[in-house]
Amino acid sequence: MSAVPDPPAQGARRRSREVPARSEDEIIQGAPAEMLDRPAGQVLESVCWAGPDPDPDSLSAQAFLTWL
Amino acid sequence: MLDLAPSSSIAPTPFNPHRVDDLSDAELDSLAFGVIALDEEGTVLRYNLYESRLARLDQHQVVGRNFFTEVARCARNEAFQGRFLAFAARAAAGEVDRFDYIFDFKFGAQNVVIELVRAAAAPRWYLFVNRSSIAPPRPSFPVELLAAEQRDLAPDEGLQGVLRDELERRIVDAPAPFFAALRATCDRLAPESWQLFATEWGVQWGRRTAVDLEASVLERGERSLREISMREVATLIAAYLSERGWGAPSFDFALTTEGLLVVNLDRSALAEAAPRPPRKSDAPRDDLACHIVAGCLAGILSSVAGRRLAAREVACVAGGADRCAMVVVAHERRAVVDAALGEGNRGVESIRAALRRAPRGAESTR
Repeated sequence: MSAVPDPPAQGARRRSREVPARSEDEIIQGAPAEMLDRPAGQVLESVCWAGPDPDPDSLSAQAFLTWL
Repeated sequence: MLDLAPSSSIAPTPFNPHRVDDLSDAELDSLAFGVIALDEEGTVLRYNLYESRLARLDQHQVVGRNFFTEVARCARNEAFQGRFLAFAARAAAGEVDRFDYIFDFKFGAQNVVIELVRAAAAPRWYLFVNRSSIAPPRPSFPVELLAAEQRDLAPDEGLQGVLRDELERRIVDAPAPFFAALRATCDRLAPESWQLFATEWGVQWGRRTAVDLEASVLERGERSLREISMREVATLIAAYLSERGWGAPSFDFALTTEGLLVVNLDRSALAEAAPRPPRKSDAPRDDLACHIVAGCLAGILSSVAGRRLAAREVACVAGGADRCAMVVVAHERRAVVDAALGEGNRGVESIRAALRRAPRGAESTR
């Protein structure tokens, strides 16, 4: 029998993440600073997800009438 | 009236606390507040992802243990356990009790509002845990009464083949060939299902990732993903994916005036693990490989937007593109994107043109 006490629990093995940070310009494009400063929920809610009004010149007559 | 506000928009439907017993484990895991189900003695019956994340305890190690004596010793007192036992002894289904409390962990003190609800059809009691803030550990709090740590519940996990990250989340170190094997399996057994399967897998992952990010935001002292800046959310999502080796995402907002958000992904792990075409073959490649990441983005962004969004990969390195690109659109417009992709269109501009040609309001609502 060993007189050496059991070592304290060590838990699981660990993995740490050390990733070089990318600059904001690398992560975000095409947005004015004003948009980026606003709350994300507000920004994404304000996007016109239905898309813009159709351009009559690029729609077939039938599609345009459907939209109307 | 229960106040479960922080981001209950992650929930697929409005949350009804009195019907919580009807929710599946997956649905509980999509909620951005803690949910714990106990029996009348305090044994943990259910324990959702958000609670697991902020208590830094593995769901599988918590279920089956006594909440007051083994998991949250900081709640073993008259103010919490006594209140719970009294409520369990008297409360009829539908009755609610509510009180403020502080959960003391080794890594911090969490100010919470507890809501107690009895399940409608069974002798189960639900604790809803709404965290309002997280503070440093209270030096005066007795160490022996701190909530359990993961290593208390499962010592020596390192000898049991368990790998965890710094927040005690169990992780699996999956090399890229694992994903190549998954794709090869799907190609062999159900090739038509790959996009559907992978996208849905990604969406499910994205919903859980949103919960994880909500917890991170709270730990930083802020209220919710929806309330931090768009800049911070984009950076958080990009870091989440790149730190885990999925590649380097970037968000392009230039087309949001057309209801289209573009997310580019450089060095995509999935694209680089995709099957390579036979040499000297002119056969077109099955060229879109990153549906899982696209689905994940849809899951996260839907929770931030408070509405259903869909994301589709429209160009992929696996198909010869310079970089992988995904478009995020309203869920109602996804059929237009799918139809354009099905016709062989690739690239953001092609999909953009297809969306512009589609009459507004004529999209599929399937």
